[in-house]
Amino acid sequence: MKSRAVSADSFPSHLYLDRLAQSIILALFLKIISSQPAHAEQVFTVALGALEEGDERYRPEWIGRWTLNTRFQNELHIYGRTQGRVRQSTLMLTSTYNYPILGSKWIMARLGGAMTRDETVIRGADADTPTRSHSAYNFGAYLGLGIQGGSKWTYSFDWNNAQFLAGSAGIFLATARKQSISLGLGWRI
Amino acid sequence: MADMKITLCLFLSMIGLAFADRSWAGGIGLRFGPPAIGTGGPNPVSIPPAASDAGLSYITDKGIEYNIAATGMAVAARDKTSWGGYTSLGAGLAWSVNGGGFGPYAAFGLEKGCGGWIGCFSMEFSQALGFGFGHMASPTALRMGIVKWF
Repeated sequence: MKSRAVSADSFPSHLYLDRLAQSIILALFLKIISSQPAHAEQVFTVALGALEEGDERYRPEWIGRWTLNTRFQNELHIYGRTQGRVRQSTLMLTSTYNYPILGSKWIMARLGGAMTRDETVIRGADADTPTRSHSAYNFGAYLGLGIQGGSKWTYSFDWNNAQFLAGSAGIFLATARKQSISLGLGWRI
Repeated sequence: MADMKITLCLFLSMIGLAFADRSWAGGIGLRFGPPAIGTGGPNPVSIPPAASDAGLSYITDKGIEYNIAATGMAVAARDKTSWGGYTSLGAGLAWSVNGGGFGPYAAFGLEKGCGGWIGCFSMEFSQALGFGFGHMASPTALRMGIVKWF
């Protein structure tokens, strides 16, 4: 976690590092989806969802999802908004193992991990006011359920929870979470 | 006072189920953990645990769960694995400070060390959605406790 103030007349140098971290998350996602055997069954999905900001306040998000042989799944959640001089953005990369439950072909449960990067940038009101930014990274568990149907074209409904232990209070089971509810349309190759 | 009443209710439920007829064969689980109900995230679990942190389950030998907690109640079917993990899916009532109602319920859990007289160690994450009154409720809870099979 870091919070810094810089002058607004030049591009904040520390943001290069943030851009780098952001690029690494994106590159990891692309690397994972592009390094599988050509004969594997893959489903590429774009989903529109609601991501929890906290306290049951949900905001729209985009999700890029890649599923390998129905069992291995990676998602990139993208959420952001700009209000005046404030820009807020969240990237969440998840990686899970899917398994069918209750003997169903349609209902899949999933377990895995999640990594988030949250960033808030407040631009200076004028050239003399410094721009401030704050970014935070979190690692946690990712659990959820999904329903998927279709053959060449697929459709899906997903309900997932990212759980992060709340620092040392995690010993007493205090957690932070990002819940995501989404509808997706995919293409199977 | 309300906490005491809930605790008494949970305790009596456990006693009742423990002495139930053989046709009630199954397990009783009592787990503690703070629920997230839209109030700034869950607080650390109280010491001793408050009744609002408790979750009580009755699981039949057929794998049907009846769950009750301060954030709702649900009936679910349990899918068990050989290594002690399970996934449950069902429906019920869920509420939070923002609203609530009927909706789906799911849980991911682990039961280990079932050999002793005290029962199995159990850890469970549960999530639920509630639609109907107020805004959508989406309580979750991470709880730990004991499941006694009989």
